[in-house]
Amino acid sequence: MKLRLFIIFFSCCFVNASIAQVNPFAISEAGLDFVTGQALFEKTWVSAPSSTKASDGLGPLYNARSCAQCHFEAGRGTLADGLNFRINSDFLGQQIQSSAISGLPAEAQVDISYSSIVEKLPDSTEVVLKIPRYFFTNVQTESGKAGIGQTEIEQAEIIEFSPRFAPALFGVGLLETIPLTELLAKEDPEDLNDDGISGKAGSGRYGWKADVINLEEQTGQALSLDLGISSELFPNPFGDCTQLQHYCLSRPNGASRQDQNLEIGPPAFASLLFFIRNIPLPIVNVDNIYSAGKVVFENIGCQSCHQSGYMQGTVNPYSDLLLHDMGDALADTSDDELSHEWRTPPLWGLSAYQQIDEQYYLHDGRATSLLEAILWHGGEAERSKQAFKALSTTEREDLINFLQSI
Amino acid sequence: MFKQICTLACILSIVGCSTGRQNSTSHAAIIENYISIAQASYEDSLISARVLEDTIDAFLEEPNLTTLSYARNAWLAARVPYQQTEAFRFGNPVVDEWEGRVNSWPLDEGLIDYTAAFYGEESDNNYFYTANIIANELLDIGGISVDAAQITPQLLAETLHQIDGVESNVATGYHAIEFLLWGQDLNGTNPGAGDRPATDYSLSECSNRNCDRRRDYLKAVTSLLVSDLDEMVYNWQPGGAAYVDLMQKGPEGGLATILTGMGSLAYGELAGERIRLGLLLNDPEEEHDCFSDNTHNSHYYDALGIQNVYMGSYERINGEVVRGASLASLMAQEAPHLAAQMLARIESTELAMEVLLSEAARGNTFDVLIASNNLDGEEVVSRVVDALMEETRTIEDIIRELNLQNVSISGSDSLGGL
Repeated sequence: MKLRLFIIFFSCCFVNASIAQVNPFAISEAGLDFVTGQALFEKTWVSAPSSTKASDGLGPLYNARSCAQCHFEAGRGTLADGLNFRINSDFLGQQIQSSAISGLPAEAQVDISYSSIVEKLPDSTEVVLKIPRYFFTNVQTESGKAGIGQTEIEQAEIIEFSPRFAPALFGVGLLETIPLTELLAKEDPEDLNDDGISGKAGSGRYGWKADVINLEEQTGQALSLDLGISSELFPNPFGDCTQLQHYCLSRPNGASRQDQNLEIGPPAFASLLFFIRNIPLPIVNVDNIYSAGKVVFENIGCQSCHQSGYMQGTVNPYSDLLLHDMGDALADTSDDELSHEWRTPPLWGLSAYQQIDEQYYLHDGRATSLLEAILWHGGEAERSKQAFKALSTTEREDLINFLQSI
Repeated sequence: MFKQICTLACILSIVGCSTGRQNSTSHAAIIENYISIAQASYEDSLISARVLEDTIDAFLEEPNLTTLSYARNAWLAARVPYQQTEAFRFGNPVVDEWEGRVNSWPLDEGLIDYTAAFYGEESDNNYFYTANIIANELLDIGGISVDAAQITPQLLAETLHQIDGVESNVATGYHAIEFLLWGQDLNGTNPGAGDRPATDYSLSECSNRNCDRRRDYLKAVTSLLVSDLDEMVYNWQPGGAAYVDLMQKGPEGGLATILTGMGSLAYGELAGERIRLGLLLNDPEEEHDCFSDNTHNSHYYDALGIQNVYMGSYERINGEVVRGASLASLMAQEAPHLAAQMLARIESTELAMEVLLSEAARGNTFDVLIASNNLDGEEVVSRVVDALMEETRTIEDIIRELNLQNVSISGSDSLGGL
């Protein structure tokens, strides 16, 4: 027997059977590939060396022990499991890892506090918008590089960072099938059509900054940065340990000869990727889609970025996969020129979450309802947001109902 | 010791026997017989766990190689009826929710007792990885403080099992006992099982320290297994939770449950997670009974359990046979062609599983077979996967033929369109 840890652990909060991943394949080789890929997705990795030769290699620095820890049932994360911070640090690397294998200090701990503002809508509905502030404690600094024994743990401020919330993975394989020409056709970097929206292509179609080319790279990067597991595309067994983090580089790693000196060998990686690529969308009954709300969605311009109808209308993610300036309120504090830009997140699969108490939306999970998420829109989406705020109560509810039905 | 293996001739005689009585095998009668088999299988599991408990008492009374080997043999014997009950797990939530207490794997054995140096002293993802309950009366790790001065069934079940939410913190069940009797299998994908010295339990010449606490642990964990099995026996009696649950599903729902259990065990669990994943990772830890190298039997008796519920026949540990109305006889009436196909599938699976047994008898246990670059081993194991997959396909055909609703085979949703 293999108990599924997260089912046991979180069954209190996640009881919606519609999210449970169902195998889209008949009983076949492909079906078994999906089963084994799913088992790898849920597999808890351990650190090297351990009695589980093929399962070791976690870390040395990591954010999660398994894919499913942040993508429970292949869905999105929670604030406790699923919010990472990208940085650009010679010492700490590309991402803050808040966990480390035993005997090694984690890079930092993160505390979140919220202040709030109240948005008042014309029908006097009040919506509380929570503004997150992040405090990093026990931040490792370069002065602690001498070794574990002498590691000096100091308070240090991390000012430039970019929060990244773990998105749901439903349908991610379908995004790969949309021809590039169809995506680029939506591009309008100079806003030549004067709609206030200047969608521009990132370097790829995945990731909150549209900077990852395909699922193979996305999966390899997540294994490397989030779990510290090396694979063919990201072969460094030390994950996000930098050359300056000597204490980290001196740890044993899980690369084994049988896996071509990788912590996850090519066949197992292929199986994992096969599962991820084929994670199905929640089944949506077309008759149950709120068509009245869809009209509102289109009228106020949501679909300008939340595009659907690719490949003759067969692929409907409600995203153009392009980057948009979302305004100052949502901008991250990195020194990156893309600090205000975010890739339009696909909206398909929202129906899967409607029975769940805890809701998290946007790139940092700050919005706890669809209404909040919409009201956070700014920048290129400012016009649409103002149009949304001017909607009648019924129209607004229709729109939310539509989103909850897709 | 592991015989009671039903040959094809025996299968045919059972079918011949039940079809001989002919005249519409009713759904209700099939479910009634299924429950009888569940009762007998869990009773046998309980009886053999009690024998295990007695043998362990005798071993602790006088720890030596002979008494240890008796205890190990009793554990192996206890697995025979238990593995056959796994066909009842999927589709019966009462069983599925309980199962983690008795059959959890894989386990981070460092939680329980000392481990070899290669296991890594500095743990990993798991604060309790090397907690070593046996060596520590007070555990204070990762902010959780545990008073383990007295090792009791209650401490194991309620506090330590899956502590910190880590699934591999397995403190209870068959595999915890297995580790305590065999110790770590330090042979990797080479032949050989765990080799714990009997003196680990000796009060006079104690090896590896803390023998008194190790004895307490072994006693507590074994008595817990007995009480857990006792609970499941009760659950299948009239009025028990599993019994009531099943009866409430009605005749069609009951048949759907039987087939859900068969298909889910064969496909997602056995072919997928327990066998193919091990092959993919070449990982001895993916062996189900990894300390004792008993995985071949564990798989074999799983498959036999599937056969039991389909044929409506179970040979008890005392040789008596529980037999009655079966899906096999129903299919023989309703769709003889499909019935014949299913018998052929069951036979293929059994033959493939028998190769696992004969390989194990030659020293090629499951962990050896799944080693990387063991092409012959891969072939043997792949045949088992293929046979189970074919068997599940036919199970799906049966579900379609009987027009059953709400069947969801774990690891497969291909029935979704029914």
